[in-house]
Amino acid sequence: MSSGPTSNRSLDDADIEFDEETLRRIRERVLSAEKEKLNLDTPHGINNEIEETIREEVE
Amino acid sequence: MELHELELQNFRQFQDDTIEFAHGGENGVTVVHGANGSGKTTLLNAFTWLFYESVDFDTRPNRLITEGVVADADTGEQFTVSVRLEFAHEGSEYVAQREAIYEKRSNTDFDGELLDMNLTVEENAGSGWEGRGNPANTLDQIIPERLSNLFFFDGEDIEELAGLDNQDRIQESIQNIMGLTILERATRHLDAVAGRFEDEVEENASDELSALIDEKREMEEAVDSLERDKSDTKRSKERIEGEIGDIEQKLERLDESAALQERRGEYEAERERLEEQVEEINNALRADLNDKGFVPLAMPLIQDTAEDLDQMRKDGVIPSDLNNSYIESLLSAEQCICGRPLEPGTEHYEQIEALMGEAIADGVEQNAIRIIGHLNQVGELDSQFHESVEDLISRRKNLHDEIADQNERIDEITSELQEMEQTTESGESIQDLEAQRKSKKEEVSEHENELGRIQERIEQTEEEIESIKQEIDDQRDEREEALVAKRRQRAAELVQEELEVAFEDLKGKVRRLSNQKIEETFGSIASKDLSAEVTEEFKLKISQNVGGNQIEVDKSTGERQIASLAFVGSLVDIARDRYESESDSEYFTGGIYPLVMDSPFGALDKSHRRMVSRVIPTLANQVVVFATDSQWEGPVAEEMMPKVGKQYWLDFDSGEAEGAYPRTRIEAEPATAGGD
Repeated sequence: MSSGPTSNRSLDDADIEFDEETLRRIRERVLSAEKEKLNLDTPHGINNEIEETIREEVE
Repeated sequence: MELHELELQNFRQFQDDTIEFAHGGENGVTVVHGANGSGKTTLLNAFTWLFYESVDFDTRPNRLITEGVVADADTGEQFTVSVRLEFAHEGSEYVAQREAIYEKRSNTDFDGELLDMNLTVEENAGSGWEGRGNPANTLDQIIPERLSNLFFFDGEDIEELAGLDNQDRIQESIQNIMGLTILERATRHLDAVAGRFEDEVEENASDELSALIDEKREMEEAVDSLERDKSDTKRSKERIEGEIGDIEQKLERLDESAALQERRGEYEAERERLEEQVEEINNALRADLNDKGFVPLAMPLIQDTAEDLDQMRKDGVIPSDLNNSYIESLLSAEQCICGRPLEPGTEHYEQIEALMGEAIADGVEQNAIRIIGHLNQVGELDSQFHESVEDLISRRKNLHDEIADQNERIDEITSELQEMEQTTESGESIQDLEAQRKSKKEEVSEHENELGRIQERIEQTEEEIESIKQEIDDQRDEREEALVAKRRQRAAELVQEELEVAFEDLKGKVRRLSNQKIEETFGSIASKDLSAEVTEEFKLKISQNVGGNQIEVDKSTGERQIASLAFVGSLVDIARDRYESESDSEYFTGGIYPLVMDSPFGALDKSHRRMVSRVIPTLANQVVVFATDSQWEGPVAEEMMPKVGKQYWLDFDSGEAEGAYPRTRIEAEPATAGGD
């Protein structure tokens, strides 16, 4: 699991960095969740799944 | 997906029948011959009932169970309606079965009452059969219901698919099958999730930061609302433009106005071309002003500097003769230019002595000349800039004159048409049509102005949002919760941005690919002056070349129907290509799909039937066609027979005899002379 630079108190987007691997994992997990629900007109619960994914990947 | 066998029990007029589908190899076409009313559409419905529990019958839509079976039974007796399909998909074998249990409730009950419904899907991936936990979902993932009417295709729907008003389905189908839907949804959902994390930041942040976030959100909502207005206005404008197109087509069909309308169309096309050229010139002017616009402003200063510098060089203020003799004179005077003494043997003396040589004199002289040269070059740039701007302005003026000429010609035609009293078959006079056209043109113009205003407000608000974002970025916060939430928000935004780029990229590729495929397929079927195109909005556009102009063809013409078939076939083909290609994509994997088509040739004339039947089997690995004898005989049979692997005939008994009921048997040989 990855985290940002904890000592930095800045809220500036430019100061928040992630390694490629974390972003790749989030992207893959999001796309996989979307694919699972692609057949549904309204993919219920998808936002919760994505939110949980990001909570797990960014601590 | 590859269909293997369909088994029907008590399903409408099919009591106990089976079809084995041709699959694999060169002969992947299965033909089911049947007269009208013999059950072809029922077979198509068997697929949709099994997959999605959905049927669409013209007669007795609520009766699923075979009529005779219920009629002959006793009250209270129960029956099973069943559709079972064996198929293969992505390396697994599947058996899907839907069963419905009915009970006869009274002597006069011929439909039965549904007691229970059950769907099972078993999969064998090579290590034995296993039931799937969520069978409906499994089937929907193999062929999504939203795409079902492309793969289980009803010829009667072709009008609907071809209709200009039904473009959303085409758009959705392309986007879905090509993996665009996944990306579009993912970016939308990531945006919502980023918003949730922003809420968390706000909850945990300082008052000042919280106020800024609030302000930013209000502005973002304002932009969303403006975007909605923009899209509504655009849609409304397109609708009115469509209505203008309809009026113009009416004018083209009337003998009295046809020639005038055609000429006006040509003049308008020419005017549009001229206006595009004016826009190109405006862009060139803007680019010139950006790149070289500073030159005229700076020119007086540059000229003065060049002249002063040259004068200084001539006056010797710049030491143009800083040479060996000058240095020697300093050394012999034993005094440096800075006033310090130069005693032989000292370090300072040696430094000055070491300067003797040609380099210094040359360097100072050359540099001064080079600077003056550069400054003079700027002068040339100034002349070039003036020449280029004058040339562009003169060309623009000529184009404006030409546009004014075209406007005059268009106005003359409009006046002529406004005076014509002849009427169309529906009783509208040319005068009326012209008046309607004029008023709609004005509406379009108002919409264009409105769009400009909205766009300006959007850009202005977006600039303000950027400035607030900068203020938010400049904030610092000590609370860990706010910092973590902000990092999560940022992660969601970064992935969202990345997927947005991927979406745009894939969208361009998909459009090129589908255009190429549809053009190829349609081009091999339709007349030479017709062309099919998938527009930037993923709409299917069929144009005809009339005197060098591309004019969109009328609704409900044979050409649009062919285009729709070409479109369906092309999608299946692209999905297959994608599936078989080795390229690795996370969201666009394609797939193998069969085409099950009920009376696809019914609405087409003979020559088009031949061409469509030549193309369709090349687009899909497996094709199942339901056709009447008259649809099949002749060109369709000639083209498709070499690809046919299996044939069946629907032997229909209308059940008119005493105690008999309608029943269809699926036979492997033609029983009696078929017909319509």
